[in-house]
Amino acid sequence: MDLSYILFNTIVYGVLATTLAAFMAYWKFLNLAVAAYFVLSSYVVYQLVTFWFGRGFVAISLLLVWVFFCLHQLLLKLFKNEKQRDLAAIVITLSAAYFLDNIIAYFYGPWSINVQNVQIGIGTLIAIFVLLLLVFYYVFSKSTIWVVLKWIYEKTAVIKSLWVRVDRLLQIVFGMFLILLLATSFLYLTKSAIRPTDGIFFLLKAVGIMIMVWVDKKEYMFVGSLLYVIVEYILFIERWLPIVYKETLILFVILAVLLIKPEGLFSLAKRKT
Amino acid sequence: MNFVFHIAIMAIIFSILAVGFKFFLKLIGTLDFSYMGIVMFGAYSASLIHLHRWWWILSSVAGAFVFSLPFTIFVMYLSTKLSELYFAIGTLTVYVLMYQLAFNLEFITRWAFGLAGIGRDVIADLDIVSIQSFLLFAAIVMILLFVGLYFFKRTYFFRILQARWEGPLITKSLGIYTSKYVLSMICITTLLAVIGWSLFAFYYRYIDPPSFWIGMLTVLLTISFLSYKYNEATTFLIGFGVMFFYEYLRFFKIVDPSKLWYIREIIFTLSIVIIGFVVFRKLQFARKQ
Repeated sequence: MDLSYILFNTIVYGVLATTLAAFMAYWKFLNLAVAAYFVLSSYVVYQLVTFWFGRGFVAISLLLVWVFFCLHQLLLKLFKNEKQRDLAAIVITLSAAYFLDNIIAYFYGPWSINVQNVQIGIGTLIAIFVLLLLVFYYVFSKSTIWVVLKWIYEKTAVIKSLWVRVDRLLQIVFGMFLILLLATSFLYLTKSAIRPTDGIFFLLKAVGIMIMVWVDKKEYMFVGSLLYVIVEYILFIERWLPIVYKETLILFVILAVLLIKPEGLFSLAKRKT
Repeated sequence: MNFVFHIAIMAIIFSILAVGFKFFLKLIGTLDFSYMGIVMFGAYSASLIHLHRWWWILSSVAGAFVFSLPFTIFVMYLSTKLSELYFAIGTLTVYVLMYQLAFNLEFITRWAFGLAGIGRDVIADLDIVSIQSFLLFAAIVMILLFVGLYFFKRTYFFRILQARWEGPLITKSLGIYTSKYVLSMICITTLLAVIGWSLFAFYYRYIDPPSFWIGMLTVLLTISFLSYKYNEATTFLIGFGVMFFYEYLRFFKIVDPSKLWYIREIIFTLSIVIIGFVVFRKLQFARKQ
């Protein structure tokens, strides 16, 4: 069994699923542009590593990051406390994701990129995996800041009475997730290649793992990711099933969980579907 | 002049699809991305029936509609089981699953090479080869569909569907069993989906999986949201305007051909984002939330 493959993919999918679940939990909308941001981050990293600051593309890349940030802020401001936000967010973020994919393809073309001159060993991968597992478990189940975030929408008056600057807090957390995605995209490029059109497949993996685990169990996203990657490895890398159907597995997982156990595999509670 | 005929045919195809998409959106109140999956399945079914059995266009479309019905029932089941958000995710999954299967089942769909050589024989010896005659055929189909919908919207059947949506408790308290009404409504959207993209297949005499990807979805969403509050005739006019812009870039080589696809997608996705921000708050769907 290739431990490197399993850890590497677990980290990437786990981070994406956790970010998506955090958006869902703390910003109250499903941000389908998360994976597009991951792809965009990869191109920014590729640009920095390959060309450093010598080319104008860096400015464009940073501008795109800023566009993504602004889009997120607009979404929050305009649909604040609106009941239509769920569906609006799906349409807007899905379109924004495809917009970003095409912007990247316009500047870089449809070809894949990587930074395989940087090598990350199995020991480092294990360390990153354990570190992320522990950090996520701590912050999502033990730390105070996540309790505050959890109650922002449900007990807004109480939180504000405690002099917590809600908008600033959300912006800081949002920025932290962006940095995490940027670091993960660097890790991804050292082991694999990425194309502008890959965003949708990352998105579906993240959505699938989030649904499989359940959005409120963010601390278990990495465990869910590990479970999924092991199944994927056994089914497709060990050549039991044709490799062309590798990306199809997550689609069956999503449909199966939604139809059979919509409250997620890691939940004891009954989710209202 | 052929350019205008081409735009008119594309506008007819997309307005039929947009009317079907809006029909579901208005009566169920949530986004059904599997609509694109049904469009894909219907078009492939009609094309395959036509290619392998040499049935005529009309009978191929009828066959495709029958084949697509299990999907319809599955979507109806999803709509009863899942809330708006999870239903949107579930149907998006169905759409991508259909797309991937279209790519991977190459012995059926011939992979990215697509299905070529689809004929245009409407019935018996009547063969519509020229673009003018195909436009006439498509226009007749569209008019028949839209007139049928116009009268359907004035029936008791349709009013029950509306009542089910606006006052589910009232309809329940009156003892009205609404599942058959919902099923019929989804059948209508399926019919529109199958007819819409089958016309596309018979027009181009060719279909391939990439033509069903998100680029097409963005065009459909643009037309659907811009025409959300308007009737079928206005949907066609809006569709004509959107398609004119869409094809104008290609036909008259306004931009570099190698970048054309990206430019077009950038413009349309940006338009969806803008429409999303500006119009969504005014549209009255998703009232259930």
